[in-house]
Amino acid sequence: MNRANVLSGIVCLAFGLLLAWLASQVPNFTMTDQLGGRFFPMLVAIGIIICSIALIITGLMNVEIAGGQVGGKHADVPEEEAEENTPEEIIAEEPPVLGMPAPRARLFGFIASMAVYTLILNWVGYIVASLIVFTAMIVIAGERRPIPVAAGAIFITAILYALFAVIFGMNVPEASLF
Amino acid sequence: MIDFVSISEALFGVLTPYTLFFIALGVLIGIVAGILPGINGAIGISLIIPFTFTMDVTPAILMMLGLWGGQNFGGGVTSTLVHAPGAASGAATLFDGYPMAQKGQAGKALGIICVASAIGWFLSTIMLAVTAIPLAAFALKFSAPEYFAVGIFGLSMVASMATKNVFKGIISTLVGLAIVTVGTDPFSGTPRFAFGRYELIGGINFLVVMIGVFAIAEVLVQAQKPNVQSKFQAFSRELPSWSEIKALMPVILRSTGIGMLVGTAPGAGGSIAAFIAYNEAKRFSKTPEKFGTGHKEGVAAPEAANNATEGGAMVPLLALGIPGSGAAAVILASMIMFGIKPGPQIFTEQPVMVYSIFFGLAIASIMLLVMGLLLTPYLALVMRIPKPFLITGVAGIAFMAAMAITGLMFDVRLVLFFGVLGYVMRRLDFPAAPLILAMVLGFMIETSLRRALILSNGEWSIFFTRPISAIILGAAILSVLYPIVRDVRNSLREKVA
Repeated sequence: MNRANVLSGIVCLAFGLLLAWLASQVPNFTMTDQLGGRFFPMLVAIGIIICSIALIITGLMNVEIAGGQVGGKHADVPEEEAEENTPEEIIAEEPPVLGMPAPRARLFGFIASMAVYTLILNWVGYIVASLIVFTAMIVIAGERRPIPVAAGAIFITAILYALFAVIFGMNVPEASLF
Repeated sequence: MIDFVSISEALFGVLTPYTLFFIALGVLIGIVAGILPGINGAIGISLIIPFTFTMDVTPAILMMLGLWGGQNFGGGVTSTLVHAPGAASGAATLFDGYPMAQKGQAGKALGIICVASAIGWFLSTIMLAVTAIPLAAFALKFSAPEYFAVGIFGLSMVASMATKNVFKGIISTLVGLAIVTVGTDPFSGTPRFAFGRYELIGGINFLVVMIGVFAIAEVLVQAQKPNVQSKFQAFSRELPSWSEIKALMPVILRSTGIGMLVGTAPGAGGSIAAFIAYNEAKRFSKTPEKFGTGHKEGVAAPEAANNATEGGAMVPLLALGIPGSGAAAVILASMIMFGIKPGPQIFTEQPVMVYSIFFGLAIASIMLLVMGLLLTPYLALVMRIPKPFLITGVAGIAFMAAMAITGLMFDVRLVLFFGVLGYVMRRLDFPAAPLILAMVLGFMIETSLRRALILSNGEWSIFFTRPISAIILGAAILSVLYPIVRDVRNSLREKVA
């Protein structure tokens, strides 16, 4: 059994069913268009439901139906493979962080930092929010020397502010807290 | 009939210092983006879109197209110098580019990459001009059923080709179509899936989704990896001689043809073209045993092909309004944003824009040749930027871009949401490109479908009684069913054996 395919199929099936239910709530009342606004999303939902069931069944059978593969076996060379590869020993050497493997900790740290960024932008304004969050992201990504961290956060914040707000005249969020 | 007035207007427009500057800037940013691991064409173009808001239309579009071509070249530079491609399109260059660098011929390898990329790009632009105009003239006969069929064909090809699991490709496509239905019903004007939020009444901006699933997802992928600097290969500045380039011309020309053809097919991008060209170069070579050991033909073939895919991908994009890859989808989205409507009418309604694209691409390829040969040794230094600063900078640009698009904090949060979704999709092998393509084509597909069904009083046979629509839909159905039938047949044969 391909557990990832079965689980992702179940999640997609749930989404398809939710979409079908939501589509059924869309009013259907135009004189010229008998199909109405619910027709297309319902069609899409049915498609998702059918493909999700197919994904679950093939996942249970541990079958992976690959795409057309224009270029023969080389055509589906995964992009992941094409990316830089990190030696296994380097990953293994990393100590766990907060009881979880370091890569996962960095991932959650980045997501949390970004979430905080979107929440505090309107409170503290672009400059303060960026300085705080960019500092956190640089540290989480692995740079621990204080001066490069501070210089990096200030440089990225300043260059983006200068480009977008000064040169292109964009309205960046200003602090509402102070 | 050849429209000389539009051609000359386009040529003079492109040759202004203002436009030339932005083409050069696009190529330059593209080379840097290609060199940087993880930044592909779609991400690069998504991130520069906010900078184009205050620009004139033509330079803005040409800058994006220049970035796309520059990025195809830059990917090969990283493959050669650090044994890891900067972009997927440069993956096939690894086989012979890196061994050449190890033999002390990195300068020569980079020179071949540059010349092959520039020639491939230039010739594919000529082929684009030759093929797109008749295709568009033919497509003028299309009405709602044919447009629906073409849209479905584009999506089916992207969803089914080069994906690890065809069902995941189709689900990604359908999720993209579902996202398009958020906002307002295009026929009745009533809100649909807006959930009482005014930010959703106008729909979800596809640029917001693009920045999320491409840029933020890539930041998250890179964030997971340890902070290890790639080993940078020191290299000589020795360029290839004219006789070496002349000897490579047959390979470059053949690979350009392959790249052009593959690029025209929706769903088949630069990396696929590069691998096919590499295999063909090996097959045609008098010395196939040298491939993989630092053979010049093995460097020239994939690079000519991956740059030629841009000209190929522009054929369906301009003539039919169908993008064939993530980068093409971002270009199409940007064109729509600027009020340009690619499709057969563009050749009669906006001929100056079309000819400007032809001239701009040709000039960009020449700029790539000059900049690639002169600046690559210096531009390659960007590989030394430590990853923590690089990914934080990309995240910063992505959020700034989201703020610039609509100015709504809601959209900034959506970027993060789609970034996490894009990351999960990548981990589970759900391709992101079909989702974006579906978002770009979704409006056309829904309106064409519903309009056709209104015209036929709800009769679905309208799609199969009109020959063009029937053929295109048939091809779409085949492209999805073929992998399934093939795999079932193969497994049955294995059981029998």
